Order: sequence, then C-alpha cells, then structure tokens
Amino acid sequence: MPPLKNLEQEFPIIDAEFRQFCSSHGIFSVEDFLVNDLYSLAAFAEGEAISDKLKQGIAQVLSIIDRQHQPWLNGLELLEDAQMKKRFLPTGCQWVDSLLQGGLREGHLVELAGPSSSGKTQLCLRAAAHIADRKLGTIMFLDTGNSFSPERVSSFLDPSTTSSSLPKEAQERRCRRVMSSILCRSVFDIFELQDVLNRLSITLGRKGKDEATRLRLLVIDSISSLITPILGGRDSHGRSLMVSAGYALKRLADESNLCVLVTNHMVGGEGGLPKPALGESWKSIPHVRLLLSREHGSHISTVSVLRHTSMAPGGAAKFAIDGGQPIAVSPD
Amino acid sequence: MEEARRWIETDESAMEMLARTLAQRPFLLMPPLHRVPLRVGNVVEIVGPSSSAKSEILLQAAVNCILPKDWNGVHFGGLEQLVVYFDLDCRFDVLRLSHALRCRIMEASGFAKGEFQVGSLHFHETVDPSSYSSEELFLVCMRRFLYIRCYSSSEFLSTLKTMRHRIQKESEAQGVRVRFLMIDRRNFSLQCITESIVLEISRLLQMEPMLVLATKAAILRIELTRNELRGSSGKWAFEENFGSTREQEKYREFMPSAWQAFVTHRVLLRVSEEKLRDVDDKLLPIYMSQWVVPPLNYSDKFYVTDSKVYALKGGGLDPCLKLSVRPSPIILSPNAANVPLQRAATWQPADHEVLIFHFG
Repeated sequence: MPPLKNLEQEFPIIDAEFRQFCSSHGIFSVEDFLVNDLYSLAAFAEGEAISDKLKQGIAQVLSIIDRQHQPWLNGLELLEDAQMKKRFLPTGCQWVDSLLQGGLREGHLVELAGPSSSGKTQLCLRAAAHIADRKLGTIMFLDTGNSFSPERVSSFLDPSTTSSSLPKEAQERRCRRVMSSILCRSVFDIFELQDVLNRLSITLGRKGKDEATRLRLLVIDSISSLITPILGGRDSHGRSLMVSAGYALKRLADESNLCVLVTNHMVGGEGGLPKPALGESWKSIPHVRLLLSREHGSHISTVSVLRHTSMAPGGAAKFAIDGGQPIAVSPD
Repeated sequence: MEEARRWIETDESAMEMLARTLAQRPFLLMPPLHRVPLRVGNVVEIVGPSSSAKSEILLQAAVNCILPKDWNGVHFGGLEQLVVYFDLDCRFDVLRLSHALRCRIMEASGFAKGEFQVGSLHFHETVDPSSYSSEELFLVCMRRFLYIRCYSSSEFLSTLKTMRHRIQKESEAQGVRVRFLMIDRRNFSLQCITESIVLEISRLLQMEPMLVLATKAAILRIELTRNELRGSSGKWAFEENFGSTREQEKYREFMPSAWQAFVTHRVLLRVSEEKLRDVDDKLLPIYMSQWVVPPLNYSDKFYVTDSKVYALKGGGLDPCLKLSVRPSPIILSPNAANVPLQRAATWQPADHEVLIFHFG
C-alpha cells in the first residue's frame, strides 16, 4: 500500500495540507489509515479550520481502501462462477475419481500425503498424462526432487497396457502431443517457487483464454521438501512463508481456474510413528487432503480422504501403481 | 425545572420495550449452538482442530438464516435474513452450500406433502416442473448470502472499513436485514491489526446489530496428528478428561488479547472416535461440542448430514429427525458391539436434560 504522498498526482485532494494533518496523527501511508480509527480522525478533522477539505480527503482515501479488497459476491454469483468455470479434472484412476466425486476440482488446492513410495508421484504423473491425453489443457509440473519421469508418463500411454489399438505413427503422435502439453520446471527453494508463482499469475492473468491450451493443473512434487528446510527453530518466519505460499497457491487456483496438486512426504514423528512433514499449521491450508498408503510388497495403493470441503472424511479408494493400466480395484 | 421534568419523563413504554427486546430475542439455532441463548451483538467463537465440522456449522447456520420462515404455505423455520460470510481461509465451497440449501428445501416441501423419503432422492437430477416454485425460493435464498474472500488481514480490514455502505445497499434492495456475520477462520498475529479489526467489528455491531460467528483452528498437541494417521484406533489423551477443566489447558490460545476480550461465547469442537452408520451404509463421523464460555458441564454430540446438523442426545435422536422414514442408524464404538440406537433410546435418563452416550 502506497505512502500518501505518492497519491497526490492521481488524487489532488491529498495535498500537503491534508498530509500534514494526517502525519500529526501518525498516519503516513494508506496502511496507517487502515489501522487507525477513521471516525475519531473525522472528529479531529471537524475541529480544524479546513474541515471540509480534510473530510473530503478522508473520503477519498476510504474509496482507495475500498478498491483493496476482493469483490463482494452473493450466493448466486458464486454458484455461477463455480459451475461455469470450475470443472472436474479426471485423474485417470477410476476409483479415485469416483471417491472425489468426479476428480480434481479446478480452484482447489489438493494435497497428497503419504510415505515414500506410496504412489504420490505416480498419481501426479498419471493425472498429468490423463489430462493431457484427453486434450483438456496444459499441465505444469514443478519438480523439486527430480522426480518427473517422461518415460513413466509415456508408459501410461503405452498401447500394450491401454485398450486402444492405434497404429504406430498415431501412437507416436499421441505421445508427442501429450508430452508437449506437460511443462516441467525444476524448483529448488521456496523463494524460487514464489517467483514462479508470481510470474505465473501475471502471465495467466494477461493471456487470452484459449480453453484448449490453458493451464489446468499445476503439480508441485513435493512442496514439503521446499518448505521443511525453512521450518523449525524458534522464530515463526518459516511458518509464515509456508502460509503465504499456501495462500498464493489458493489464490492462483481460484483466479486462474486451475487445480493445484501438491505432495507432502512423511517424517518420523514422536514415538516413531510417521507424520506428514508439513504438520499442524499446514493442515488447514489445502481444500482437499488425501492420505496415500501402500502395504509392503503390494502394488495397490490406498487413497483415503483426510479432509474435503464437501465430503465427510473417511472414504477410501485403491489404485495400482504398477503398470500403465489403471486397474479397476474396487473400493474395499 | 425543565430539566427535572425531562428527568422523570419516560424513555419508552412497556409496549415499545417489549417490541424492542422481542426483535432481539435469542436465536434458535441448530446443535451445537442450541445450548446457549444467543442474540444479536454476541460474538461466538467456534474452536476446534482441523476437520471438526467448524465450517460446516457456519454453513448450516447460514442456511438457517437465509431460508424464510414460511413460503407458499410450507414451513421452513428459517430467519429470512442476510448473511455476510468472510472467507479468510479461502476454502468455502459454494456447491456445498447450494446442495445443503436444496436438500433443506426439498425436505421441507416433501415433508409437507408427505411423500418424502430421506436418502432415496438424488436432488441434482430430478427437477420436475412442480419444483418451479422451490427453484425460485432457492434463487431468493442464495441472493441473501453475501460472500467475500480475503487473502490477507489488511484486505479483511479494508473490507470491514468499507462494508457498511454495501450492507445497507444490499439490505435495502432485498428488504431484509443482516443478521449473521460469519468469519471463517481467524488467524492473525499482528497486535495492531487485530485491535483495529475488533474496533471495526464492534462499531459495525453498533450500527447493524448482528450475531458474529467466528471459527478458529485449535492447535492441539501432537497426539492429534498421530491419531489421524492411525485412523480411529487410537484414543485421544484428552477424551478421558472430557468434562473436566483440563481440556482447556490442552489447546493453546494464540489470538491477541484484544480478540479474546471481544469474544462473548466460545464452544470447543472435536471429533469423537465413534462413527454413525448411515442409511447408505456410509460411516459418518460423530462430533462433540463443549461450551467453554459460558462454562457448561455437559457436552453434546452431533453429526452432520447433507442437509442438517443433528444432535445425538439422551440416547436418542433429535425429534426433528423422523425415525420412521430413516432406518435406525447404528453407532459403532470401538469397545462395544453394535448397539442399534432405537434400543438405546429406551434407556431413559433420570433427571438430566442431556446425556452423553455410553457403551460397554
């Protein structure tokens, strides 16, 4: 928020006299205006010689403040936005989709938590491959641990494991098309992530919306490995960076109508039991939290809902992490 | 002399006073907010760990508020007022609201016709011509819900500073007043920001009397995280102490004192480890609530369905739930065999108004 003196050019009412009056009450910027009590300020202005002008100035700053917040919406406008712009993105795993009532929702921040090799990355890659294959749009994969594997993505499209029997050239063309609509980028620390998100929100806000190629899914695998290094210690600086990154992701998801899929690895908690690396304060950030687990030696991963904005927690589904075929494993 | 006369003059007649106080009569809200009489001007804080149905309670209270009392001869029992919903969490799901509202409308009009069956209707697909008026009601109700998303405390503050005008415009346009102000979920750290937020809200309450419902995430001790991962097998440390004063020590108060002093009521929520088996054989979590301000010595159990929050009390179900249309739910408890609810209902409490369910 700008200091008052930068506003004079645009709003001549905020002149030196007005600023002098404000600074006598400790107000130098629009932010100070926010924190101060404007009613008592108006009462002080009453006592001044140029009270009308001062009050006009206060009203002017108020209208500037009014532009700082998000627009008001009523239930109908909200509903229309949700129904027209926020669609479901299928993950390609039948039971996961039916567990999530249609798949990943645009506008949502979805977290996959689970121990190492429980299928987090596999689910991300499979969803990316499936969305690209269905020509739904572009996928961006932010890779923090070199986990993106194009071979794996192409194996999901492998004709020997899918039911389609395309000729070889068509299959290659399909593979090339899928690969070209998945953008991958390595990100190795939280500041880089913030930078990427900033630039992404600028480009997405500016670009003309072409439905076929617009960004639909943003994967961050894994977000916890970016955030855990800055957590801990006695100050809460790391925590606030985490919360602000979470809000940036939610904002991006809502404003650009895309789904953000992040993964959260597990660490040993108290008593040796595993717990998600991003714990108590992170919990309240994502819209949907899914817990993945896999029995030792089995290829079947279980997904269970830890929280969902429109569903009671506790539902579970299974998917196979081995082989390209999304094997239909019944929900228990 | 003039002054003395003015002094003995009446302020208002008993009639006027009655009209004034009746306008501010306590709300009859759904559980768990039904335990304490709430009126406009109160600030209720709903505290609980992640996914303990905090936002769900706000949502159901909102549905109650935007529904009319009667519509086309059908009784809905709502307040027919506006709701202002501040989404500081940015996680509000409007589809959930519209679904709950549709369920409530269908249920109420279905009960009136006597042909409604819970659980056997899919509300999305069946919109027959006779439901035209209920669609109209749906639109009217949705318009009474005002929503704003705030990504930061300063956005919240700037909204509060400038919202009065907006509220007035809206309530004039719709001819109804704002009754509920909902804040999902407050987490601020800066002292000066919280102080001015409290100041702005209290000023708003003077101008427009409303009931404020705010949720807050409780940061509980480490057992929770572990418990969540283990599923329902673990036992929460504080559950044994439930009802004593000790559970208050178990959650850390992190809000600045300005906010704490502003809150007039506080209720703690948690998830119990019991589950309720639904008609469709789905397991529903059972939640528990306890009032901390004002301190009450009993706790309520409740569960949430698509359309309503139901209290589980005295070993039976809320009377508003028709047992005849809903097959008896079964409570699953880790240490007891499945006991059908209806059998439990024959066990009557001696002189308590509310009782907690016990097994085994």
